[in-house]
Amino acid sequence: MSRRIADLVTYLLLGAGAAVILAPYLLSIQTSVKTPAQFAAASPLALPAPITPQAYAELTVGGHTLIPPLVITVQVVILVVLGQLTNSVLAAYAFARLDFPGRDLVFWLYLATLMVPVVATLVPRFVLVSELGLRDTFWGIVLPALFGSPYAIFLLREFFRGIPGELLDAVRIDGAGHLRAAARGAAVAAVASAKTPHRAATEKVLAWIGSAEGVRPIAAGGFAFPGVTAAEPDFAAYWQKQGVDLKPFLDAAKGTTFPAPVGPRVSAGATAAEPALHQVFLGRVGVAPGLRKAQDAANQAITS
Amino acid sequence: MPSTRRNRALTGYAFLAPSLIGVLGFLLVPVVVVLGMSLYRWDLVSPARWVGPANYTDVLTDPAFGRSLLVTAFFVVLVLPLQVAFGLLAAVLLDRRLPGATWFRAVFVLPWISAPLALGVVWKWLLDPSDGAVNALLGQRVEWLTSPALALPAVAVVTIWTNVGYVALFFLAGLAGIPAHYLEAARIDGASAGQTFRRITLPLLRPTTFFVLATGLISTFQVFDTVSAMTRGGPDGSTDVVASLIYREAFTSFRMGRAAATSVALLLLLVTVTVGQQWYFRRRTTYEVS
Repeated sequence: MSRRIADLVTYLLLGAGAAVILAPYLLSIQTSVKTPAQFAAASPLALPAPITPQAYAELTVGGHTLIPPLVITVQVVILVVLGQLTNSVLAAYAFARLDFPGRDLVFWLYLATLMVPVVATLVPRFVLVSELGLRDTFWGIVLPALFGSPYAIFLLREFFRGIPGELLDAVRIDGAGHLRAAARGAAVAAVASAKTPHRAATEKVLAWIGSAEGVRPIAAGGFAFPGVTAAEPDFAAYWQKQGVDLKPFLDAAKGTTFPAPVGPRVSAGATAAEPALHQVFLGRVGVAPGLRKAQDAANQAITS
Repeated sequence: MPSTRRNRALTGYAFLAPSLIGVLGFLLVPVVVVLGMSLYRWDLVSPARWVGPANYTDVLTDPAFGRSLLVTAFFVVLVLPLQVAFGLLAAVLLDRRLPGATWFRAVFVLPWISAPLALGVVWKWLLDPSDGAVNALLGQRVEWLTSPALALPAVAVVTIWTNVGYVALFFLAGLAGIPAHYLEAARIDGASAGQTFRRITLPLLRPTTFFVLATGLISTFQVFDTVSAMTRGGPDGSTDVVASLIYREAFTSFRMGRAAATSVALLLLLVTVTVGQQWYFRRRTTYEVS
């Protein structure tokens, strides 16, 4: 009962907040379809009568068209977002994951710029843009914003620090440079949340990691025997070159295969199998009965 | 190994290069230029003339500067506590994850992603004494933006209205970072919802609170767009915040030296306040959530 009252109070408060936030927007929309005569004569709260698209016609094809400024804005946004994202991810990765002299000093320098009021440096920036010959030009707006923002770098750095180090190191061991690791890190940051709204994208990434294409870099470097059979030839070729014959391994892998266990209780199965396997390694139980015992224990743990 | 050391430094600075160009060119060098400019008299047209510390004595003895400091401080005091309190309240309500919470969250951040100048214009129209919707709703004529007593609180309310959703987003992230078993343990021990919130949630939110207060303080001290769109510093200078004074000195009076000296004063003030705030929070116990 008290839970339902709490829910009701929550909705009342959220509803009141949403009404206060939305009211100016709704009033603007309502007013945008009024005639100039009604706007001048009637109360601002009155419903539009008659409804007229006149203002919107004026803003699209009329004398006050918004189309050219809109096109320019879209161009600015695309360039600035691309530039800021790239440059901020690079800097944030360097601050979070690389170790080099002067790193912390430079980071504090970046942070300190957050305290500089925008108006305070208005004049020098105006002069700088003029000196570059960019006053009143498209690039005069875009260029200063292109290099990445300290604020975004600060937030992204926290994000990168939240990604387990092993995850990025694993990407690096696969032979990727820091550049690839930074890009992968950004991708992980984007899908890391378990409650992600981008379920489909997350699944796609995970599926790729489990595919032959995704496993190939690990196999081709000879780092681990691939679980994906399509990646086996790369692994064999690597060790062949090192003078190691993998035939016994490959033959063993040609036998009956079965799908790897999946589901939320996989690790419970592994844990359950462990004691029986330990008995085998200690020589207290024979291999065949020990394996059977481990298998039964694991299956029971997974299905229970 | 000196070569790998140098290699590491090279990689690091290669990654930083693009953003470093921007930070140096468009943020740090301008600050240095402002420091230099504050020692000259310059109107953008005729050659700059060295005047030494004269701009500073002018600014410090100008009553308009003292007034702008008071107005800014009053604005910060009006906005910051309410903005953080309402942001926290919204976050706690949204964190209950009732159906529709995502929709409410989207609505709450709407003002933050809107252009401040456009919002300022809309609010100026809503608060118009004779044709405004707010007065139509109240059924009486209130001089919101045209009386010196009400103008600053009105601008403050609009600023809070703009920022609440953004603050709530940070608190939501902070709340998500608190391990559920801490709260469970408190509940099992018989703590009431209020006790749990005061003794567990609030202390564990301290890093978030610090972040929200620090960035909020810096941005409210620099408020410009909203004031510029709604009141232009008036009436009678009652909303003449430091940023709008700087803008007027520079681009209306064309006194670049005085504008620069005022900027330096604002900068020093912000650094002092931020460092002081950091020191205060460091002294208090902080809790690591991992």
